[in-house]
Amino acid sequence: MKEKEDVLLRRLKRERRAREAAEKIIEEKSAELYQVNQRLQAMNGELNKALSTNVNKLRQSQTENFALVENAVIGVLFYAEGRVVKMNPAFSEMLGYEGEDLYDIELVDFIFEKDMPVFDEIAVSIRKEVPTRLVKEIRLKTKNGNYLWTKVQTAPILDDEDIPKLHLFFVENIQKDKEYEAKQQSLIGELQEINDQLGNFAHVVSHDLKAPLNSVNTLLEWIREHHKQKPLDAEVHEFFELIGERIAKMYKLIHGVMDYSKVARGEEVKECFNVREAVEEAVSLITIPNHISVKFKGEFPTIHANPMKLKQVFMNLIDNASRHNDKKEGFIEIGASENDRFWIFTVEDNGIGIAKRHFDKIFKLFNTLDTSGKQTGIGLALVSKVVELYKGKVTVTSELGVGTTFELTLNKKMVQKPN
Amino acid sequence: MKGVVFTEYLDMLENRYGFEFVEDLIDECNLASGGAYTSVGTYEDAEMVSLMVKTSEKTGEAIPDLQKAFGHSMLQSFAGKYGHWIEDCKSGFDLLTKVDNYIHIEVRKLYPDAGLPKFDHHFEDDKTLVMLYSSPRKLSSLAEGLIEGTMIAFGHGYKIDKKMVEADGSKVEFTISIT
Ligand code: HEM
Repeated sequence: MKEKEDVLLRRLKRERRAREAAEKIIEEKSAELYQVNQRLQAMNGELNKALSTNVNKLRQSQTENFALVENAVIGVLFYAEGRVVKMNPAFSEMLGYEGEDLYDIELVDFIFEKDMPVFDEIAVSIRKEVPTRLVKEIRLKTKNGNYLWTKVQTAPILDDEDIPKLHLFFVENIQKDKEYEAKQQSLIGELQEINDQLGNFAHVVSHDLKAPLNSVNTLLEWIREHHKQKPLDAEVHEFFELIGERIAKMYKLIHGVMDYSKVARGEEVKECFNVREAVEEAVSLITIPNHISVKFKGEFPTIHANPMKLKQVFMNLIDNASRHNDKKEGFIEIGASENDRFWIFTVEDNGIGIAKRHFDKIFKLFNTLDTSGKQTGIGLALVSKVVELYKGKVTVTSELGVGTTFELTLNKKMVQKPN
Repeated sequence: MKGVVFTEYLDMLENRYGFEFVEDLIDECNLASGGAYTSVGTYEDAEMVSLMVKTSEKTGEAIPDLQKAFGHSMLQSFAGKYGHWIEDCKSGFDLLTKVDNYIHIEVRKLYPDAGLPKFDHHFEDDKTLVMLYSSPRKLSSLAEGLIEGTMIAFGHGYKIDKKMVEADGSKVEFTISIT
C-alpha cells in the first residue's frame, strides 16, 4: 500500500512538473504570438495606408478621366441596352443643342435617313456577344435641321465574363473634312475638264496661231516682190501696217490664253463684296461708245467670292455688248434678281444679236463670231468657267437685229460667307 | 523529438501495463527531463531510445515489434487529434502519399523544431505503392506501424514488403500492395 502511494506521489510530481513546463512553453509562445500580432497590426496599418492612397489616386484619376470626357472636343456617348445613358457636352453642342441636356434620346432619331443602313450595321455589331469595334462615317441631324458628317467609333466595355455590357461611342465632327473632300472632288473634275480642253487647245492654238503667221509670211513675200521693180511706196507702207495689225492680234490671242488659264487654275481669293460695285468697276475699265448707255436694274447682293473673277466676267459680257451695237441709241442693262437657290444676273443689250445656231458654239474656247479679227473668242469661255466655279450656269437668249441677253446664275451656297 | 510522441508512447504503455509500470520505467531510465513530458515541449531523441530499450528489457518484446505497435496506436490517436489534416483522404494510399507533401509540412508549421522523416514515393501500379523512408532517427519500424495503421484504418487488405536500402536503417523501402 505504501508502495502504491509512493508511485502515485511520483506520478503527481511528474505531472506537475510537466504542467509547469507546458505553462512556461505556452507563456513563451503567447509572448511570441503577441509580438507577431503587433507586427501584423503595424503591417495592417501600412497596408491600409497604401490602400487608401491608392483609392485616392483612383478617385482622382476617375475625376480626371471624367473631366477628360466632359471637356473632350469629340462627342462621347455611353450606350447601353439600346439607349444612350450618358453623353458629354461636346456631343450635344455638335448637334446644336448647346447647354441643353438630351435626356432619354434614341440615337436612331438623329440619323440621316439615307445613312440608316450604316446605323443598322453599328446596331448589329454592338448587339454581338463578341466585342467588336467599328469605325463608320455617318450623317447626324442637327437641331436646325441640317446634317452633320461625323465619324463614329465604337468601343465595347466588357463585364467579368468578357461580354460587352456598355459601349462607348466617340463621335467626331468631320464636316470640314467632307467639304474638303467634295472640294477636291470638284477640283479633280475641273482638272479633267481642263485636260480635255487642253487637247482642244493644242489643236486650236496650232491652227489659229499659224493662220496669222502665214499671212505675215505671205505679206512679206509680196513686199519683197514689189520691191524688186519699184522703190518703197504708199502700198508697201500699207502692208507694213497690216503686218502690225496681225502682230497685235497674236499678242491679244496669247494674252487671252493666259487669262483663261488663270481662271482655270482657280486661285481662291475670296472676299465679301457688293456685286453692283464690282460691275461698276468693270464698266469703268471698258471704253464704252458714247451712243451706248449703261443701266442697272434690281437689288444687287453682297456675296463672298473672288471679286477679280466676277469683274472679269462682267467685263467680258459688257465689252462684248458694247462692241456689237448698231443702234443709234444703244443700251446695256445689268440686272440682279434671285430665286431660293441662286443669284441671277443678266446683261441685256439691244445690239446685233446672235443666231440661235451659234448659241452652243460661243462658249467654246477660241470660238468667235467676229470675222474682223478684233476678237479672240476666249472671253465667253472664261465667263462660263467662272460661273461653273460657283456652281451656276450661263445661258443666252437672242434675236438677230434686236438684241441679246446673257443670264448667269451663282449658287447662293457657293458664294455665302461661311460662319 | 516532440513531446507529443513521448506522451503518446507513455499513454500506450499505461494502457497496456498500467501506470505503475510507466512510473517504474521512467525511474529506471534516469531521464534528463525526469519524464515530465508535455506535448508542446521538445526533448532529446536519446530519451525515446532509452524508454524503448528499457521497455523491451522489462517486457521481453523486441524493439521493432514495440515500434510497430506504437505506430498503430500513434496513428489512431493522431487521426483523432489532427483529424482536420486527413479528413479529405479517400484511401490509405491517398493519406500515405500526402504525408510527405502535406501532413508533415503542416506539422512543421505548428512545431518548427519537429524532426520529421522524408518519404519519396511512386506507384508500381494501381494497387502497389512504393515509399522510401529516410531519417537519421532510423525509426523504420515505427514508420511500418504507421503505414499498417493507415491501411487498417481504411479497411484495406494489405501486404508490406520491407527492404533495407541503407544497412543502418536510415533508408528503408516499403512496397505496399492492396490485396
Ligand atoms: C495525421 C497524420 C500524421 C501526423 C499529424 C503526423 C505527425 C507527426 C509528428 C508530430 C511527428 C513527430 C515529429 C518530431 O518528433 O519532431 C511525426 C513523426 C513521424 N511520422 Fe508522422 N504524422 C502523421 C502521419 C504519418 C504517417 C501516415 C506516417 C507513415 C508513412 C508517418 C511517419 C512518421 C515517422 C516515421 C515519424 C518519426 C520521425 C522520423 O522517423 O524521423 N507519419 N509525425
